[in-house]
Amino acid sequence: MTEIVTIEHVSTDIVEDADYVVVGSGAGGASAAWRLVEAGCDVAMLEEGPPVGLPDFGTQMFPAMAKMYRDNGMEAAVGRSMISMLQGRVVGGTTVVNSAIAWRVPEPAYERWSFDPAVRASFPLEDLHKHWDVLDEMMCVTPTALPIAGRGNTLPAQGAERLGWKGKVMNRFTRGCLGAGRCQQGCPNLAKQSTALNLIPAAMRKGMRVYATALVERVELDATGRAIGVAGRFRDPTLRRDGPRFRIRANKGVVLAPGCIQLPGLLHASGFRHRLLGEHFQAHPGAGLVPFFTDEVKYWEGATQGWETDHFADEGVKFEVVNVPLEINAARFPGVGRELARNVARMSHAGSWGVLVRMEAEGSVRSRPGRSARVKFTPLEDDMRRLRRALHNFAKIAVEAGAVQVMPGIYGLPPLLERDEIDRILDASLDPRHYTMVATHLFGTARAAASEDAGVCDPQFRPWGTRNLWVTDSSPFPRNLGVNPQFMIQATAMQVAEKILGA
Amino acid sequence: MGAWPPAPAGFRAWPAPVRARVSVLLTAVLPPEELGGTTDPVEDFVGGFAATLPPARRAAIRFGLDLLWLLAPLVLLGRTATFGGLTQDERERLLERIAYSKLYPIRVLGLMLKSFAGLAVIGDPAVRRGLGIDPPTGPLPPLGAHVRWDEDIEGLGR
Ligand SMILES: Cc1cc2nc3c(=O)[nH]c(=O)nc-3n(C[C@H](O)[C@H](O)[C@H](O)COP(=O)(O)OP(=O)(O)OC[C@H]3O[C@@H](n4cnc5c(N)ncnc54)[C@H](O)[C@@H]3O)c2cc1C
Ligand code: SF4
Repeated sequence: MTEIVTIEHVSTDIVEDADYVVVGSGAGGASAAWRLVEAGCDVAMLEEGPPVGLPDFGTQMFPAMAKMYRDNGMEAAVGRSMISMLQGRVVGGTTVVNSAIAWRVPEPAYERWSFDPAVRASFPLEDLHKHWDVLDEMMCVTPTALPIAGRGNTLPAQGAERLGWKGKVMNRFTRGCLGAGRCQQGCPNLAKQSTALNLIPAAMRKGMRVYATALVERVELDATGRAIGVAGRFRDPTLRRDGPRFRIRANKGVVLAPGCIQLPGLLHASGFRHRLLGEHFQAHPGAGLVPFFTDEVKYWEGATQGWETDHFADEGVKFEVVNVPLEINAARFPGVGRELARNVARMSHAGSWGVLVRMEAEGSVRSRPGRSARVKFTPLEDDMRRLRRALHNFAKIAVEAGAVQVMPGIYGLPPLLERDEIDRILDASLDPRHYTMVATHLFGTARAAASEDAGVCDPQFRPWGTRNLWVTDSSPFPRNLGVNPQFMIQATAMQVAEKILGA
Repeated sequence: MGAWPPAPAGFRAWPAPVRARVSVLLTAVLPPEELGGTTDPVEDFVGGFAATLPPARRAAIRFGLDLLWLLAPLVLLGRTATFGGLTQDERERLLERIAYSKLYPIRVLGLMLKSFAGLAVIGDPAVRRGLGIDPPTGPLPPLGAHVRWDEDIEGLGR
């Protein structure tokens, strides 16, 4: 197997050839690359972030943010309020720092997603299931086992059951998960099956070359719109040190999967123009709810995310246990100074739960390779109404599970609500500035559509007017999903790869 | 072993007096000694934190923190002192006004301060031990070092 080439290995500019160049090594890039390599193609993969491994996966959140997250984990979508956005930036992309939840998109969500018949024809659900079958094996999709779930996961399961709401043990990309609860810092047991642990090494064993700390600055398009390669420079993204330049010629084509925030900037820098590029940005913003129990919970002991319910899927909301790292959770606790410290000291009695909302709002993205992006997004009033109702329902689960207090995290309400006060959540303001939201599922900045007027990409996820150029991240998604997107991104990427091979 | 992975040489972006000021702010937001920690790791954190921020963001954060240090006591408490000249009670009163301000941008500043303080204080292994969280198993490599992952996982994947 060849080694990953980083800025530390190169001292002069590089010019190389490949059949296909793949930009981005996360869910979309790695899945497409693996499929192309399996079919015997010569692939070069370029990744802006560094390779990381066991020694990087500590317990502390700050080193993880500095090294593995884009903009140190401090990206935000700004509109009426600020919504924090998280993306990984390492070999393996966001799959290295995500919670590994695997969702085969259910039929109603698929119907909504593929409202454009041309897109549906390109990505039939039966085909996606075939890819999911393959990925189930490759990525080791496994239900979270009870012994490693921890009380943080079992408590809400009990609460929901008492309410008669159907819950579900999460299926996750894990092989031997020990419930270390540190997925967002990188799995210390190498149990989480990020693409850096399976698809990328598997493709490397068959000859794929991987260049990391390699920032692609533009796709080279010839006068006819044909993609003929990529150009960029080696750059240490943590230390911001520039290295030699590279140019990789693509004899057969270029596959782009830099993530839907980066994609508009990369296409724009390559001379591609479309009035909808960067528009129609969608997300699943979420907010946290912290219940307090009389007994210890120690939510950090157990799978980072192990239980969920889509009982309210019709409303476009999903409840999840999400073991937010303690350092981050502390900011949500009430008070400052000694009062904050007293509240933080109760952390071991708290749970860490969240709701995700499939928001209908659309925003926009302006980005440039290697620079921080400008993202605009303001939730609609109905999005906020669903979020508020979801937080109230999750508080009901908490009470049924035995919580003595609930921290709703909504400005204008008391920071801590007693069990019999949770209905006050329903009176909270719908102003998004009153909530602390985070978005980790991002979609649609180069939406696919049947006509060039209506979308940036065609129904096969090729930017209109280009040739030999494909997009395999969530940018061409016609709509957001309502469930965790990694598996869908992977399956659509593999479907695109098959179309490339068939072309 | 220090509290944080070592920063590579020449990697500190803020001079010592600025680091010290920011560390005073953060320890006022979340006093480490209340959780079994000390101030030194917070100052170390501030060095690494500032150095790894994108330059524009680093400048914006520094500007915001400078304003807070110099002007907030006068504007919010009517006191002609810097933040450093306030007692812990006064500091907490001021920070509370920021954290619960009616003005959203000010509240966001409060949330950011609490986030940075959380990272700095709860990231300290001594505090984590106090809270019953396992300490790190070994020292982390320097922030700028690249680790070979393909050797770690050879044989584990397919
Ligand atoms: C904390 C967190 C938890 C999550 N948990 C889950 C979960 O449990 N289940 C789930 O389904 N989803 C989850 N997600 C979302 C999921 O991880 C992402 O939707 C998915 O990884 C996106 O895939 P992608 O290929 O579009 O982008 P990414 O996986 O982000 O990969 C894109 C890669 O491209 C690189 N890149 C960008 N620009 C360039 C450039 N110019 N040159 C070279 N390289 C470039 C980036 O550095 C990055 O590594 C989570 C996300 C976060 C942040
Ligand atoms: S819960 Fe722990 S062991 Fe399991 S995948 Fe996440 S980090 Fe790894």
